[in-house]
Amino acid sequence: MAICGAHTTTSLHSPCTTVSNTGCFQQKQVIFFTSNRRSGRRHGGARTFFQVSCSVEKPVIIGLAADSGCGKSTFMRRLTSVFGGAAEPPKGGNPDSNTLISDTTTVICLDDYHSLDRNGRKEKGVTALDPRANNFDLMYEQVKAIKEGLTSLLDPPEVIRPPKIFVIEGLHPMFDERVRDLLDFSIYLDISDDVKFAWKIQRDMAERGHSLESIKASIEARKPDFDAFIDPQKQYADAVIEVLPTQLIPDDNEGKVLRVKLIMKEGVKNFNPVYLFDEGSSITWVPCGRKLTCSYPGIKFAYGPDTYYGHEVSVLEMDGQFDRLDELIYVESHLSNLSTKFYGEVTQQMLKHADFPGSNNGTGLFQTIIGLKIRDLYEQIVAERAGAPAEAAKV
Amino acid sequence: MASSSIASLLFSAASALPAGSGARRSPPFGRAATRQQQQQQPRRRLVVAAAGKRRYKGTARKEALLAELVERKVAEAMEACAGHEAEPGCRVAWDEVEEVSQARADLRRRIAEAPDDPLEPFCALNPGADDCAVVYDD
Repeated sequence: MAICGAHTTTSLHSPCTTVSNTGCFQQKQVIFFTSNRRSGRRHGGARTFFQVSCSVEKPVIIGLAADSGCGKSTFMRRLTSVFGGAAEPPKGGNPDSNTLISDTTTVICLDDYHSLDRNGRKEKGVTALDPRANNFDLMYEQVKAIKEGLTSLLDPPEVIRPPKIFVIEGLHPMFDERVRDLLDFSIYLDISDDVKFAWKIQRDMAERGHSLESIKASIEARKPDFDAFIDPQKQYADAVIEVLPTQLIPDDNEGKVLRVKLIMKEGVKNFNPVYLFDEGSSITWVPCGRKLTCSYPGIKFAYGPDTYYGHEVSVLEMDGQFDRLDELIYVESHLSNLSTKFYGEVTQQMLKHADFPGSNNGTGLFQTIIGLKIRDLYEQIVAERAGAPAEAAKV
Repeated sequence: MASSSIASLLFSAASALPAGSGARRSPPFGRAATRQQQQQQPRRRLVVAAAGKRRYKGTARKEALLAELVERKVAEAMEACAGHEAEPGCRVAWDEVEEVSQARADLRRRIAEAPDDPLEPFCALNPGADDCAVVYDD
């Protein structure tokens, strides 16, 4: 088994890829070296490396495509919270690290697979959205190794427990077909242009350098690459969370009230879509009425079958905002196939992170539900694997 | 305004502090040193009263750096695109703006959300590092 040798250059253009073991024996160690220009900058020039040791437990791999930066996104934090614990950068390691570790989950940022650093991209005229900016071979090798049960750790040379769930988050998790095939579940966060614009205004207007024009120009300049390279990934996703402007308030352009669609692919192994009232039928539901009073603009749900890029899907949609706890619990009690372990779990998770953005609308609700679905998927896969050796022994 | 009332609260609380408390270094010995310390005390109280959030130098520096970077990158992008909207150089420039804006927003959010400093885990292990010097700002 080869170990990555004397790559002591600080070249940022060709990360070392030396993975030649395909089997996994007791406690062997392989060291991958990759370059990470972020960690190189301020804290001692430490380079990220993976130190792997073999274990029997194989993690479940989730892909999350999002344009909001890595590991720090709200979605990730909700996801790791469903599994328990808060995710933090590795202890004692690079504080700028994009890797998050909790008791059960490790989140890897795909930015770390850039084959071209910022200067290289500038020279070649390539944005971070462009697949040419990434080293998909390395990505594939490492995700494959992780899937085969090699524990991977980063920066600090201490051994940690193998993660049950391994999430790769970034712009291109589903771009490369080989990496796609390794994913047990994939999610795409699809923000519509209007909402994106409203959010970026909220994010950047307070910044000294920014103005309405600069924010607009930035979105428009990135749009061609985004539409060409990132957007097509949504056809491969098992679940898409689509965020649109609300239809409840005419001419709303603040992006505060949102209409969110949870598009769930049918026929995905170990994944049963959430439904409202009657699976497979079409429903429109306004929960606000005699039993539940809502404040303006209220809440409106829709559910039904549909096709999405040629696939059969079920779509659950929520427009509006939650105002009070009892609205949330009321809605939860009418949804089915949530994969909760107890009544009110969705509400509890939402309340736990009431300060997160999206906690009062469909984004928070659906992200939480997807988190529970992933937990369910993980448990089903583990149960399968536990059952399989018994089957083999019988034969 | 709230800050002045908080400041006055801190001020009165600080004057109740026993001598030498809150000192970063152990109090110097000797009579001359004590006098010096007594002279320092009013100054120290003033510092406590005026202090805002306690943070590490590394974080303060990073914030300032990112803010300046956003400004600079936007200016660069405006320049690169003036008349050359379709060219890759323009797109790359705005992509950089997006990257630093997101980093800036992430840092701002991280600082606002948690009571501890983002560099806390690093500084706990490397208290002597330059980035881990404590600074106060309002």
